[in-house]
Amino acid sequence: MSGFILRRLGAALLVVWGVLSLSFIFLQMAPGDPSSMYTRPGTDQKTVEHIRQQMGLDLPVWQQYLVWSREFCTGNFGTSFMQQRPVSEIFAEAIPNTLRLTVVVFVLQLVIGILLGVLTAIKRDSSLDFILSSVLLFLYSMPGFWLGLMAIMVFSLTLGWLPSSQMQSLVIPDGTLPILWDRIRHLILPASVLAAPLAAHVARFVRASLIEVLAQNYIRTARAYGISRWKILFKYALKNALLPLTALFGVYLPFLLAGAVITEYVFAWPGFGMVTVNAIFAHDFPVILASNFVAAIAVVAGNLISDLLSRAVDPRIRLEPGS
Amino acid sequence: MLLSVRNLSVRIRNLGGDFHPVKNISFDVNSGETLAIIGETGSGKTMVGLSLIGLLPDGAEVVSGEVRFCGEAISPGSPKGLKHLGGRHIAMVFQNPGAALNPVFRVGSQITEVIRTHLPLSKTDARTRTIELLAQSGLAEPGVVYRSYPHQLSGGMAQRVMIAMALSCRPKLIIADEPTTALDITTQIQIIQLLRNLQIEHRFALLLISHDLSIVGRLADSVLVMHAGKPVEQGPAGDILRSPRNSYTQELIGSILECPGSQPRDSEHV
Repeated sequence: MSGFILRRLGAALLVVWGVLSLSFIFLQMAPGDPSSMYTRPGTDQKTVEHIRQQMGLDLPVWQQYLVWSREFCTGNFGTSFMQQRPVSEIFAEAIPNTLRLTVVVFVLQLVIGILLGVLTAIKRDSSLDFILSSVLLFLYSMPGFWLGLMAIMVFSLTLGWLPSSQMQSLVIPDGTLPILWDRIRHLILPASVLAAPLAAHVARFVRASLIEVLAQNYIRTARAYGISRWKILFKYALKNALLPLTALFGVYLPFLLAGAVITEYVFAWPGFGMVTVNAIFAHDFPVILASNFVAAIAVVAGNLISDLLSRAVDPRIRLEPGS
Repeated sequence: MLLSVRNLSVRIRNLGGDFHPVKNISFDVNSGETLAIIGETGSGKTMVGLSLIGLLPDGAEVVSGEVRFCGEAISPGSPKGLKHLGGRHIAMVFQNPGAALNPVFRVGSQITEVIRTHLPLSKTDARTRTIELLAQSGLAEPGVVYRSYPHQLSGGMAQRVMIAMALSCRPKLIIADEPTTALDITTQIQIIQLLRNLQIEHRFALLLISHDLSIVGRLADSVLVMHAGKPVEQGPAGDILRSPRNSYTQELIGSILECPGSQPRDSEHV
């Protein structure tokens, strides 16, 4: 078990290093010099050189890479070109905001997705199944930014029910409950828009998986022995049907983060996604690299978690032969 | 008379028209006795078993017939009449034991679940009873098997677990649908021996559905031969296996007589 985790961690380290090195190379290849973002046109060459030196852009690329790698390994993610403050500080502010959004979305995605999946599976080929499945397919197919803009148009602009951006009102209300309610109101639209396609995916997956499981011999055995319908559905069948879902967690975690990038930008949610998009527009190399680092960690961690989870819940999977 | 079936017919609705896998089948099973339904693959014998416990596949339904169990009429094919019978008074042993057990639950817990569905036993008592049943079914280490998952068991062990499950609520009738088909030959003989010994001990009636006449010869008191959904011949096992009158039965028996160990029950020494 621990051997397995160690091997996986070693591989993970390699993947993260690869992702970051490639990101570094691509950033260097991208057109446009970052320093031009931070100097007025017509600034004299000497000042520009001075700024480039401050940013560390005057060195040859391979030297930049070495300096950056050394600093990165010691946990120094550098200073943001744009904000002139440590990248770690920016992320320490942004990531909790993103977590607040993504944790809620992850729970919504699983609960709604599984419930709709079970519903469409037991009512399969009925008109209810047809309508729900069509809606789910639509939600799954639509790009996140379009859903976000539509949601803002309908629920914020036309109906005026929910705020369209930010995490809380500019004027923060008094009292714990009003503050909580204010935050929940701000969370509803971005969380729904981010959760909709993911929940739709879970639902479609659970529907297919459950229909397959319900046709298995062991379900017939349970029915033959008079086990109640509900127990068969929610205990005997669902546990089998949800097993393959654990393998998808490795996909969902990075998907969630990628979705958050778009959704946060649309809803001006001051999280990881906003920071990343703004950094890309501003050629803010240290922030972009740190963002890629976080994303790579999410992919690697998602896969490791889903592997461990699959092994924890499925007795047929063993970590090492003979154990 | 424990089970009496009269004029049972099953219909499968198809786009191309209706199809009757079971046509006008009638038979009786006495307490503690064994009736074997034999016939080639596709003769409808499995459909008879499934219709008795209300587990016909989607699209198949009982269209006529009367079934009495312990003198009481039950409506065959519907899960309604089954509720008090399935698992409690009628238990089923399936063809492919590996697939008949839920892969993600320990086999012991699957049996205690059945016990606690039908009998008012505490968790501990149900567990004790399950381990007893596993031991009775010839499993050498019942405690270990109790904690095993189906994939950790061999086919023979899994079928013994299924038999333990079938026995768990002291049923009056066990329907065994090709109980040995998926097993290798030595295991087949052990399972047959086990079913015989358990039947002597527990006095349940056995409805054996099989195409394997060597098994039928060892277990059955009477035999019903089916062909294309229709009854062909029926009577005491010794008579039919030794001197079949119908040409289809003769063919069926002729196709296996070269096999050793296929003598009828009464000529065999135990």
